[in-house]
Amino acid sequence: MIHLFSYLHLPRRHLAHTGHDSSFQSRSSAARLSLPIILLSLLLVLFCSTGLLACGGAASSSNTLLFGAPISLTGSTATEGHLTLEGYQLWVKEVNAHGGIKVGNTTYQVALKYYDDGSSPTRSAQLTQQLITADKVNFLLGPYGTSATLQDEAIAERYKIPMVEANGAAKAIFSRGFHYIFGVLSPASEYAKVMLEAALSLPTPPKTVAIISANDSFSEEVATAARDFASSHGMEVVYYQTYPSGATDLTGVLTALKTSAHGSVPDMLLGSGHESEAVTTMKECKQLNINAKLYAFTVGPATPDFITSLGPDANYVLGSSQWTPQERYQGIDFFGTPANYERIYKQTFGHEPSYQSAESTAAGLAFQYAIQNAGSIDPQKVRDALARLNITTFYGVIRFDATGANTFKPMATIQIQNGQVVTVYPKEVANAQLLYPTPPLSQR
Amino acid sequence: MLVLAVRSLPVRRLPFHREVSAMLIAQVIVNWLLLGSLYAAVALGFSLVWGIMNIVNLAHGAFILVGAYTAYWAFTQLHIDPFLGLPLTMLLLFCLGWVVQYVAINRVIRAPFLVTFLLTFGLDLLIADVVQLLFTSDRRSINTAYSGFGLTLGTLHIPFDRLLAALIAVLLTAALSLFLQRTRTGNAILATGMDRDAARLMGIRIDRIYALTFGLGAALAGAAGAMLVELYPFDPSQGGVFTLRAFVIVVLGGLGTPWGALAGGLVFGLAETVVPLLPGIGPGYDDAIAFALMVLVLIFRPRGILGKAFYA
Amino acid sequence: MFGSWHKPSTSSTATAEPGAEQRPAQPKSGTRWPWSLLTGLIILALAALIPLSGDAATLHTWTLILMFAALAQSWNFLGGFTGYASFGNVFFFGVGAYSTGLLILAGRPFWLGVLAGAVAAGLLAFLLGLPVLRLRGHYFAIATLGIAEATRELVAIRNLGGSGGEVELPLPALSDTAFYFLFWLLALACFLLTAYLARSKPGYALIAIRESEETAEAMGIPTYWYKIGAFVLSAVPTALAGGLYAYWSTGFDPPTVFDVGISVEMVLLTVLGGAGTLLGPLVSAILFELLSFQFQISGSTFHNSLLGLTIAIVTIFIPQGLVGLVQEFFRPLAPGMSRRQLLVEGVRRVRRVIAANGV
Repeated sequence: MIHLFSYLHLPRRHLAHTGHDSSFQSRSSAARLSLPIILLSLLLVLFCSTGLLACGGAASSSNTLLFGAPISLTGSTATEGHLTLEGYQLWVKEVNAHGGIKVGNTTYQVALKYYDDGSSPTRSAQLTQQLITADKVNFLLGPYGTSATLQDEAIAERYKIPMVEANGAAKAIFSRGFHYIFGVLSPASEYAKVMLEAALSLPTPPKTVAIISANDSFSEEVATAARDFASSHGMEVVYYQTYPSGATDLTGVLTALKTSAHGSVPDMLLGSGHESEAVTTMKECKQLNINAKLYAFTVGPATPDFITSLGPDANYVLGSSQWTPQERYQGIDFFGTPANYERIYKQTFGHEPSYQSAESTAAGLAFQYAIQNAGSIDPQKVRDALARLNITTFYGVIRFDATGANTFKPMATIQIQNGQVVTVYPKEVANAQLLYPTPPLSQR
Repeated sequence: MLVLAVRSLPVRRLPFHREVSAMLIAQVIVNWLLLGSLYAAVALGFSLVWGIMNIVNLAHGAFILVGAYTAYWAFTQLHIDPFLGLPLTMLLLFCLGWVVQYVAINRVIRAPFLVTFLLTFGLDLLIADVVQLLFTSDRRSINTAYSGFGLTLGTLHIPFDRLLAALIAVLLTAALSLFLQRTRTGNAILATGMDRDAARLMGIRIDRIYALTFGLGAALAGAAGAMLVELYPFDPSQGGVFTLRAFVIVVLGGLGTPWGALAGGLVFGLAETVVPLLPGIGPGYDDAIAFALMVLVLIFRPRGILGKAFYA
Repeated sequence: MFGSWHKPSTSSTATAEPGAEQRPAQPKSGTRWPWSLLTGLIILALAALIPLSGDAATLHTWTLILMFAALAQSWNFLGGFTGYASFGNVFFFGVGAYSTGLLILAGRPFWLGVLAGAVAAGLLAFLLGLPVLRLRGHYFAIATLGIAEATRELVAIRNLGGSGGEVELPLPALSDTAFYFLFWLLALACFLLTAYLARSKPGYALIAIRESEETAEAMGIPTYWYKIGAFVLSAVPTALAGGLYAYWSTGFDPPTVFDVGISVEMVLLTVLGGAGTLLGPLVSAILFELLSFQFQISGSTFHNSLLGLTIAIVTIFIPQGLVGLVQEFFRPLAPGMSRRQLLVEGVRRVRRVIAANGV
């Protein structure tokens, strides 16, 4: 105790010698008195959180299969991260309610261990490591986004733990020759294609299209695929431009776009980017009085807050979706149909499911059936069963090609009509007609 | 220069007639002025706090967030228009800024600048996280009855909400300038900024002046936030983006005067509105150009474009 | 800094330039240096035992700790010793990571990439330092920030330089333990270099710049070249860490290795520990990284709030840094004061503070 306080008594000589402003010094020396208390409380916090960790990590009992996932619950992709988490949680809840996963004569309950990676790939990799080696998870579910998935799959590969991811669509994820990564979602090149196909199926399809894209690798991959598809199918790409990912203002791009179709507004505007940029594009098109006949965005319209943040201006906008509640699949899983999934999801979380949630649930289903097929919880056997998996679920076909990507499931085109998301393409699964041409933004 | 640049666009990309291109240039100039003024509002509070208190306030973006969410909350719950509710938002943010200054920053105000830098970094994390806990991470945006509508002159279009935001931004700049120069309190703030110790000897209560300055800085950030949420979608992770922009804008314009923020805002807005139209350069480069410009301004004119000797 | 701001002058009247404004902990008095050196070496020696635990998650976390320790210590060479706070050191980290990534993709061995990155970073630090180190205080800080951010925006443009998209590397041939010791060696080298600087002529010259650049100049110290030297010195280990990181993490999305958050973390760690001290960056890298990771895996929804609050409390109550705090614990008693009197005085002051703060 005596030592503790000996530093309090600052001799003047010390003050002069440190050269600090004296008033600052006296203020802070007074403040420093409560330091021991502060430090103790800090240590206490540290101690408590370590204690929590010890409790949390002990979930893997003999008849429980532990699934681990680092997810972005804060930071720039927090919204999508929460949707991902809800998808995982719904699967865990339902699989346990239906008696767990049966392997041979043993029935396993399922538990989920997740951490917030703060939308940082470095942190995500660190947490994946934590999940594998400290929490001893049996299997890994993917994080949100391409950057994080790229880092995490390398850790999974090193430890030979299968990872089924549901939220990273870039080709790069599957082109590295890794054996333990599987993705249930359709690849990036499909995102824009399905909307262009929908537009081309119209009696008088749009003739000119302007493509704007964020410059992250996923969005650019989508945009280049869109450009190639449009120009090889008789649509004229009159404007193609990338902007910095996360841009808050797009007036420059949009002003240039306004006269790009031989002096007038192009028939169709295709945006490849993120939800916030899609909302910005719509708001600024209205502000700049730009009226394309058709607005289409790869990411955004399918997310619930697209409609809430745009209000009536969201109407008639096209979006691409990995999954919609209107699709007509007859799955072998306990959800069975997209409509049933929608119902259970709404009961559980109180809002409409987005495709991010559905594909996350599907990642869980892929594991569930692979484990059952393998008749074992051995990671290697489950990995082989995943590679052979071929099932139809409420989410559609889950089947992986040699690289681990699910290239067998089509995507869908949605349109927002009267504030509701409806499916308009492909025709077999559509529950509404594609409305075209559309009224100007000021009359929506 | 602008005219030349746009005229020399390759015909392949923008094959428009002469009168169309004149309208395009007019539209670009309008866009630029509106966006530039809005950016001035983003940087104004940051410039004041930095200039007077010598604090690089990393929590500035967090204050913008709080302002944006206050306006959003007032609009959705109380049906108060974000522009009409501006005084309310500013008052709330002023109180928040005052409290933060009194409780936290005044304790280390004389410490090296890195210490205050760290403190505001911690506060930024804290405030942004509390905002996310209160409002979730969903993207929000305000849609008023008039949002998106505007004056149309031929193909030239001036949106009301942007015009209003730009006018308010200029008004705030002018008001701050007048306040600092014409009122006793304003003069006391300037005096403190010039020489803290001399000001104290003149009987100025330094801690109060600092709390007032910081409160004003927060109020201005709140005003910017309230206007931003009307124009753009907003989520809790965006505070940092605007702190960084305020940084660049202030350096471009110079610290000396509130008008420096306006000058910096206009230069920064130039990068986002005009650069995408220049031939051979895409909008992908606009931020890179803004930052490179900032480094060059620093090297050749460290005091910024309008930077004067002190905040006056 | 503030001085040049309100005196209409060029940099020549810079009485209150970085030296006066950013005066972190003082040069250590004679007896303390060996103790700091010893403590640091003991800490690093203990850290070398971590792989023995056999726990891969601990190893991963400590690899990151050592990486940040190396980054913070190399930031300290310029920021701590001369008071020139660079907010763009992540630029060198990115340069290291990028050159390593590209050279591995071109089929070269990884060590060549790491070395090439370090050389490139050193050269770039020299060339950029020429104009940028003529600036002072905040202006230097912001110019470096601008360089790093402009580069981040440029590498985000995919078609630039033909690299396109993410840099994906094959799984490394080295084991995690090998990576751990590479980072450990880097941290150790930085530590020994700091120890050397704290006790050598070039180091004294750097500290003299921090105390008063004009006086140092007047005494015949070529301050400009010393600053550039320190800048290069801090760039090289940063690039080495970046190169190792790129190979260890098997690739990256280019904008993430130029992220301003990494720069902020270097500053944060150094200042929390005590800028310009020998032990500060090392100790705070360990404490801070452990703490923030514990918060993150605690499963608490407000781990960011906790971290922010911790940073705020620590900066308010220990503005001189952790090392400064510890040193005051061991300060000899004031003459003429018994320990008993001291205790009484201490208690009296605590009461006063509590009353004043209304706790």
